Amino acid sequence: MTGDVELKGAEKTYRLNFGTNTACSVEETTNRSYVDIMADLRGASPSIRLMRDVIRAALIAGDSTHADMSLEAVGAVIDDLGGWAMVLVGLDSKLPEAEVARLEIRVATLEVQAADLRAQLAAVKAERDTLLVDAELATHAG
Amino acid sequence: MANRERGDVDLALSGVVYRLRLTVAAVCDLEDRTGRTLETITKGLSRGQVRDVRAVLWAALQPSHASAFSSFDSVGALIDAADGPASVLKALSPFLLLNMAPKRLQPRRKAKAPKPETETWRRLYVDLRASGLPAGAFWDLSLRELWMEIDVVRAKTRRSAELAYMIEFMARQERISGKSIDQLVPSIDAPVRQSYEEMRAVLESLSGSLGRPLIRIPYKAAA
Repeated sequence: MTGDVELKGAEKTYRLNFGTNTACSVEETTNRSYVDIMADLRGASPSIRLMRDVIRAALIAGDSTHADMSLEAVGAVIDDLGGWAMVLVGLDSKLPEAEVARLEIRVATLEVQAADLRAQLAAVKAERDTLLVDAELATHAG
Repeated sequence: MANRERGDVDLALSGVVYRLRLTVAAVCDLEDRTGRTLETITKGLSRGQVRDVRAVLWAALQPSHASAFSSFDSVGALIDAADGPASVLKALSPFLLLNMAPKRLQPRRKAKAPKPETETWRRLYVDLRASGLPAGAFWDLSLRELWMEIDVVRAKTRRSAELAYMIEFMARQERISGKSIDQLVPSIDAPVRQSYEEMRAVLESLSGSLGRPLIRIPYKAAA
């Protein structure tokens, strides 16, 4: 998930960063999880608007001079890099770890959910034990 | 060594050990910065939102490492240096479970409109202060300590209710006057009182062995 990527355009070379802060920035912008975003971009019909958001965040993180870059300017950068299809292919070949990171986050997420479910199960068992004791006492009292 | 019972955990990231502690003050600061409640953030975290991993780690670092990690970006750099958000999320999972509210089965009720989070913190503050928590201590409690304090308040309330019930129960009983507590509660060492039949059997046995008949003595009430 870490690392800078340099993509050569017709006019200049762009430095993109795909670190944690970039992922957070894209999540803030899109209100979607990084796992979903990466799955979308790697799917059969990736959202170009989403890709533009990701590229913008990565450009800003890779080069602080791009901090005020507008979405239109990002669109121009994508065109300079050969269009959105080329950018997707370029990113795909240069960031194989992005998919690994996506899957690792998915696994970690499932582990967190499993731990939470185990805690819920323990609570249910404790409640069941209490009810069984109450029922036992009620039987004897009767 | 971190005290897990207080909700503290030591987490090694990139060869450095960080003391994680999720205090009420840090959580309030987190909610202010993100504009979201802790509940929303933890839900996002369980869905794998990277921003929530970063946010929770930032809050947990504040009590002991605030100067090194004053911004979210600095925590993002720490996560990158430590194999990325997935490994941090895995490491954070037991810490979060330790500090989250204990799971209890709640009876199903009609959903009420949620209160604003600030209102919840204020209510918790007032409840705990009223139960004897010193001023200022509230904000430094870890979430685990906070849930334990709430359990203490619940236990105290329950005991007070039981005591009040017992007092009222006893007040409604028929008064027993003129008897000491020793008379009301006989000592364990006191001999068991013989029944009339037992006394008569002993006397008849003595009468037989001594050869002297039993004589009835008329009862004379004390003057």
